[in-house]
Amino acid sequence: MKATNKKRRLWSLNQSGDILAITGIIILTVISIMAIAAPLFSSWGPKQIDFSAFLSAPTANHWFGTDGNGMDVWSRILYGARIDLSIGISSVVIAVLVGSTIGSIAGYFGGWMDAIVMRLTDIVQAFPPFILALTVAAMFGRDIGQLVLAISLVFMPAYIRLMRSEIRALRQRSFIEAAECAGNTHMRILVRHLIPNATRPILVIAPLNCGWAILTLAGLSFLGLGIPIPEAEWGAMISAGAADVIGGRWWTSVFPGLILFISVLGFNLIGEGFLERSGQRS
Amino acid sequence: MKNLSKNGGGISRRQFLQIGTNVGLIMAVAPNSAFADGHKDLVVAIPADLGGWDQDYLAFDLVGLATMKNCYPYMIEYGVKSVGDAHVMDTENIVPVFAESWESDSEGRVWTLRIRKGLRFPSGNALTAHDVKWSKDRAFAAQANVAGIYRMIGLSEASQVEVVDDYTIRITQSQPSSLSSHIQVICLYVFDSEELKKHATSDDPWAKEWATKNPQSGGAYNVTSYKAGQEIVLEANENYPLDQPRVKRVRLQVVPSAANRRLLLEKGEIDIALGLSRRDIDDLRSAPDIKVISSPSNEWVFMPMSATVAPLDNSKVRQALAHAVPYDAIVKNVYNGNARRSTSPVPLDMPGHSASGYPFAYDLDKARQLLSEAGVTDGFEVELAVMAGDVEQERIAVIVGNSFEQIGVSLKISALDPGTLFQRRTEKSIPLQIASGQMWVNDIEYLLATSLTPGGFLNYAGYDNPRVQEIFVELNTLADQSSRAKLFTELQDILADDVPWLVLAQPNFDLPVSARVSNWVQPVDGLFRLYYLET
Repeated sequence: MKATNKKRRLWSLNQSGDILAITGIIILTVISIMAIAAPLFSSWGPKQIDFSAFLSAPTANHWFGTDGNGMDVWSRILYGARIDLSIGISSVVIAVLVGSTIGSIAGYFGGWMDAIVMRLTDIVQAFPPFILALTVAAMFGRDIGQLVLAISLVFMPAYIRLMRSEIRALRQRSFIEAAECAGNTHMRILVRHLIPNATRPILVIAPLNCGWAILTLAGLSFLGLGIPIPEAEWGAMISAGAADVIGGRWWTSVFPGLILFISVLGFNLIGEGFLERSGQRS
Repeated sequence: MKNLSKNGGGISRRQFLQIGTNVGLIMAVAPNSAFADGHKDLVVAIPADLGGWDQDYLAFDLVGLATMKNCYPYMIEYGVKSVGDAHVMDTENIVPVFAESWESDSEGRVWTLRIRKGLRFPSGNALTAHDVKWSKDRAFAAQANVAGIYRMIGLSEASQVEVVDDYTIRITQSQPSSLSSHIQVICLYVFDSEELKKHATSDDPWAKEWATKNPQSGGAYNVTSYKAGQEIVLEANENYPLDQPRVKRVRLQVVPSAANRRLLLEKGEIDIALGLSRRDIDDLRSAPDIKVISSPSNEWVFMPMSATVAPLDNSKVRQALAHAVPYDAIVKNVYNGNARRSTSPVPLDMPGHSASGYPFAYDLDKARQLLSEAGVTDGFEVELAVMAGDVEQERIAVIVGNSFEQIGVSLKISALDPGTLFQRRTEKSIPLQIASGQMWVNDIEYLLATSLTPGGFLNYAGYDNPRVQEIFVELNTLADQSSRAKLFTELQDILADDVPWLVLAQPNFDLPVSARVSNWVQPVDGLFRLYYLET
């Protein structure tokens, strides 16, 4: 009887997408803990050079080998997680906050304000997303703050559109009319009644975007417009190690590629989990 | 799972197209026709097509300049000498090629060029003194590259190049110069003037547009086929005045990807792969049927420091940094030991080189002491510019940065694209950078003119020392070798105090070739000479 209940509970979790989300959260939590406590997991610094081991294959001293600069790949993966996860998450958080605010105002007030906002997002979305990030990064530079700005700009229009359409739909509902009749201010209606009811789709999309943001950063680094050398960043590590693969030195790019894959998978599982749970797959 | 099963475990249409493209690329760069005559062609994979065929206007395009070195008729050329097992160009020995003789007056100011008779361009036009005159008139009138270089030896007007008769040219410099022959090895190439005149217009009197798009021939090799972006076919020039080139036909195949060039060499589809990374070359040392030709080179790698940006404007700070560079680690780990450590801003093997020019060993305590004497006790941050995508420069930057951190100097490494790097070098706005180059003229006077005096186009550091300028001016007219040697020593003593550059290493020239290729001659200017090669 106990076993049957347990089985049912697991089945129930799977149905609601919780297993997916929990798996994703566990993956990212483990990576985050290892990044925060990186010195505990590696005796090498991320920029420390082992002059006796350039491009060394994985050994007991260097678990994931060393790169062309004699730096420990395992250590750089751990420290690189700090940069990749923080840029990935913070750029999406900024895109969500700014995009949702603008989208809510445009959707609520409509009229010329809505028209201007929509045309601006049309212009921004006319550019292929990665080309846009590339252009902004090339224009403003390669500091972490500027890269966050560049990546958040790529994702912002989607949140503006999403929030606008949600707010416009909700605005016709009777509970909003009731709130207006009760004398609530526009600000109060937006903040207390509309926005909390419109955030569900954002919870689904934001984790997926975090994964894409990390991939965008990796892409920028691969093209030399990401984090400057010799900072540890996964995309830059893959880029630097790519030329070594043909010579059989696979570890310099395969391990960073693997962790990048696992992290993006983690974010995607969370997004998928939320999607399943909200029942919006159909 | 849904997405995975969509392809049924086979390859997708996109994958199929990708594979097809790769196979197509391999077939395109190694066509069967290349070996139709029993594998006698020499096939060279080059990383990029030429920027144009007009040598007067081509700069910073090594593949283009190298191709032209083999196709244009050059009046004189360096000889060849052996150094150990290697053959290198002998800059002390000037050999007439299309010229019959090349002589100066006793002062070294007036030079007479006698051209061999009976020479013809592929068009059938005779090669005469009038072609030489027209070619140099063109250079002066259009202020082409040659005009700029000629100023160093006192040639600034077309009237200084005169036709004496159909096969004799007199060149009168405003001053004698010990560089004259060296400069003329670079500059005395000739256009088929009758052919170019046919394509001249009132707007383009020197046929610049036509010359840019159409291959020029008449040197050791003629260009017999040119497919832009794909292939250049060269065939030995039967009218070449010296012995015939040993390799009769050479195909220069454009293969942009270094990985593909390496792959093609490993598969035996090509004979020479240019532009491979040092790591690829090291891997190929043990590959079957491939050998790596290696010889000492005059390429040198250095780090110019701006003398106008604080705190680098303080010579003690520059000396401190010179003590903080791990030179041996760079030679060992960046160049895998295939380099010589530089010991002066004057490159090794350049006449007049003295190790007194750079008396700095890796000594962090000494570096800290010098920083303290300079009043820089809290360290500082400085930008270090490298060429984006240049793996060796990035590795040097990382190793140097790691060492500088230990004396409190933090490097902010900027990987700049070539355009930005060129612009900032012109503006002299880079505090610290990594640069490399080869002196086409193996002479200190040329080094000073290009790199260590104001106005020198390679003077990235904006170095300006009045005494060094005086030495340069004295050298311009000084032919006596012992007096020149004294000035060379004084110059290097000054440079040792001023430290305009951190001088790092002179990497060897390494070229992976198929086992059948031999008799490579290492050029002083980095421009390969196909003429000497054998298969």
